[in-house]
Amino acid sequence: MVNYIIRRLIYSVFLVFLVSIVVFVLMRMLPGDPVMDMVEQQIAEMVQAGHAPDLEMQQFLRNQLMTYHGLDRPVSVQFAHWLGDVIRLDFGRSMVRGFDIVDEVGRRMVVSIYLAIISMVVTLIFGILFGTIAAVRNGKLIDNVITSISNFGMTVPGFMIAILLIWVFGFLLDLLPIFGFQLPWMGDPGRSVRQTILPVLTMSLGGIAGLARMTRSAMLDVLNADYVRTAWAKGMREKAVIFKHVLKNGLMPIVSGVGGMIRGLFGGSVIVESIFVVPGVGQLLVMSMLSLDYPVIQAVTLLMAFITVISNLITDILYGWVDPRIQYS
Amino acid sequence: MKKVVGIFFAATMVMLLVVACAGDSVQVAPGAAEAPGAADPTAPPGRPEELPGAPEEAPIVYDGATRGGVFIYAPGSDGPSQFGLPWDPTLGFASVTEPFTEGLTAQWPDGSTRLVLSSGYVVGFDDELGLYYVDHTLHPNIVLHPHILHDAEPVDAELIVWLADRINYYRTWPDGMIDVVAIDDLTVRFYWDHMRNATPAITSGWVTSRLIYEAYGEEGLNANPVSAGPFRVVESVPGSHVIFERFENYWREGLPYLDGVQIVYLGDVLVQNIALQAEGEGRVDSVATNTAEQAGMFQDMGYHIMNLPNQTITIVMQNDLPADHPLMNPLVRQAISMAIDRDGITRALGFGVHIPTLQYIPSLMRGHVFDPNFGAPAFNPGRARELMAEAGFADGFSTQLFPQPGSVTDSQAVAMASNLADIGINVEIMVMEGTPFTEMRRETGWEGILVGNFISWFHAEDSASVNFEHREGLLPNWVSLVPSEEMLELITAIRIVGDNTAQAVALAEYVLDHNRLHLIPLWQQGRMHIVHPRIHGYTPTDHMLFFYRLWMED
Repeated sequence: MVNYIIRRLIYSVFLVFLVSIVVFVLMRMLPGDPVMDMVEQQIAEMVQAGHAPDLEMQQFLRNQLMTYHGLDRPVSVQFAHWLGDVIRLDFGRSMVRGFDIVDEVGRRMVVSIYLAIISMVVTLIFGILFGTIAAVRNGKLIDNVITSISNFGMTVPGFMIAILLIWVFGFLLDLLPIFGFQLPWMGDPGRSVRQTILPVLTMSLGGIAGLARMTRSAMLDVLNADYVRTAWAKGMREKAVIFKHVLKNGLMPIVSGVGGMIRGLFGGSVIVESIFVVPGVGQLLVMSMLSLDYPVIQAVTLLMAFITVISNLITDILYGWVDPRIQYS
Repeated sequence: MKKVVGIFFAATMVMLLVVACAGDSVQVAPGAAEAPGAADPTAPPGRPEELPGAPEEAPIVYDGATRGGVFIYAPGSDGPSQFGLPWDPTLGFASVTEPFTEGLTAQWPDGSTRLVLSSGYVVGFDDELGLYYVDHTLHPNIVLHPHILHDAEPVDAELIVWLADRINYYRTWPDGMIDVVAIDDLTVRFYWDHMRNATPAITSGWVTSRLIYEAYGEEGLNANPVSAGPFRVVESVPGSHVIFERFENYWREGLPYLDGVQIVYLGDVLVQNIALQAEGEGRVDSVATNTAEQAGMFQDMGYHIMNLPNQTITIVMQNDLPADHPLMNPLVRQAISMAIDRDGITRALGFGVHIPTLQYIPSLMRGHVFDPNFGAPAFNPGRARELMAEAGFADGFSTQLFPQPGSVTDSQAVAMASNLADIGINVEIMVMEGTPFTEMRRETGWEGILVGNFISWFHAEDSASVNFEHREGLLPNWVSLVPSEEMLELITAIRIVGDNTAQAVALAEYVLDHNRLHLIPLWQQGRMHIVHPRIHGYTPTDHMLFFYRLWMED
């Protein structure tokens, strides 16, 4: 087991390294020149202040910024320098906004993780609950309703759910704030809780729908198993059969979906944080992409890749824990 | 069967939701309502004297209307810095920063100087040093917002000099500023080697705390935003919102009347639209937008649209093409101007907020001529066809049309192409992304009709410098016009200290002369603000004056 984890960790490092190369190269292949945009901004400020910068000055400013940000070197050299800094956990500063990336990403990561954990808990509780109810009441009205709503939740994109929730709860019912976010320990906890509800609902609904379907399907398989029929025949109570025999065994395939859920939550945060004005990592990624802020994009994508491989690892370990028949090799 | 019923039930619920959403959007069909009006006459003009004195300070009169309340404003994003750099040598335009920050001066939209912390200024010439000077006198008893090191750090001449030194340290002083010295506790002297129209307004940027800087550096200032504006920061979450509260020790006694201001960075247009219509926690009172469609939609719903037309969409003619090129021919240029149906395009595609124009200086700015016959030739397709024939292009010619992304929509470009085709000019519309478009514009050697917003007309003097003085790609963000000697003289003349309206008009007459037509103006547009009808005392004006009054009045 320990050997397996070590091997997977080594593999994960290799995978993250590959992702970082791809992102690094792709970013530089994108159209646009962030340095030139900064030069133009500086020139505009100089003009407004009465200076008259000429072509040489423009070139000088550009060269200065290129050198300052290390963009005048070959991409391979840039990557080597960047990697060396990353190994020392130095991600540098934002090219556009000037903040320290570790500080900023760290601050925003707390927000994103906070929302992701709550969303995950909500997803697990309601996804498994609805899936179980649908499986146990297979073919009944409640099963049909849950299945239909699950289909809706899985097919409607997250941004549309967000807008619908905003429209219903923020505008029609005027119950909840529709933008802004602050962690509960940073200000008014009551306001924070109310600000959390709509983003969490948006992030969870798709997951609840998927998990409910998955749970229903897995539990239906188990419900038809011989040992469950035997349990019924022995006269066990419904609760005992469901929780002791069906749910425990039915959860095994669900565990494999947890990793995907974590990835989905962080991926979905890009949209949700932008719509609800939540100052998390997803919002930072969008802002940085729009301004071609290379170091920030690289740091955030590296972080996302790291979260993905770690969540996969956790899933695999959990799978073995739930099903002892699985051997790690 | 039950499954079918269940699916039908769920599908019905979805349909109801969709229909309900669609029902809301039915009201928002674009209309052709008249755009709001022109400049506010209370904006103090500059003075025509060679060495002008300070303008009269506009009295702030409270009309007894509703006091208090919290104004919630939603700009699209927070930008690189929420409160702006502390060392900003440029002119302090009124904006979202003004509830919080103040400097000695600011500017009205037409370019004239507005007094803020300065109670007045005197312009003189020091014979001994051979330098101009501007003496600004501070209002007494100005203090900064309370902060971690001081409850009421005073704003005096020494602080202003220190701020100016910081500007010089971080960014260098504005061109022509030689020295800044304190004359006494409240008087600061700025030495200049020349005087231009905007010189008296250029001082030391926004005031901030010297104590925090000396204790914690620039990052300490960013973490503890402190200035002397009417509202102080009580909560700031970068990327999300800023909450301001009335500053009880604000130097203008009894002001402000608002209890607070909240700035929320709403980037999503749909969320903006819902928030503008909400009444509870999710409400906002004003949204900044660049989207005419969004502004037009809310205009139809009875919202106020503040529309400062500080941009003019123009066709820019290249003057460095071969002499026999059709686009170098003045008759062809006139024909192009006559071919474009400005009224039709703005009516159909401007959502009631774009304003057709024949001049490149918007109506709010100095140099705009209130004569409908002034400017480029007006729409007259019949005469345009005659001009094409006179120019030797009766069969027309083909070229490319480059609409600037973000400023000219594809539909507007198609409408223009259709207008041009009517007189025989067949254009291929080149739809480009922003960056490739800018890169192409920087290069020489391309040929075609460039249409977009390349001019930000805050005030005639700087605009003339930016757009006409610099050429041959020296300023990559603007278009080269290769000015003649005569034009350069006009540009120099526009720098007169004081009211330079006549000079701006002279330059416009030159640029728009029908035998040159360097520019073919099409319509005015600008950054718009949608304001909820609940806002008391709204008058159609530009957003600077609006916010200034809002911060200072009710």
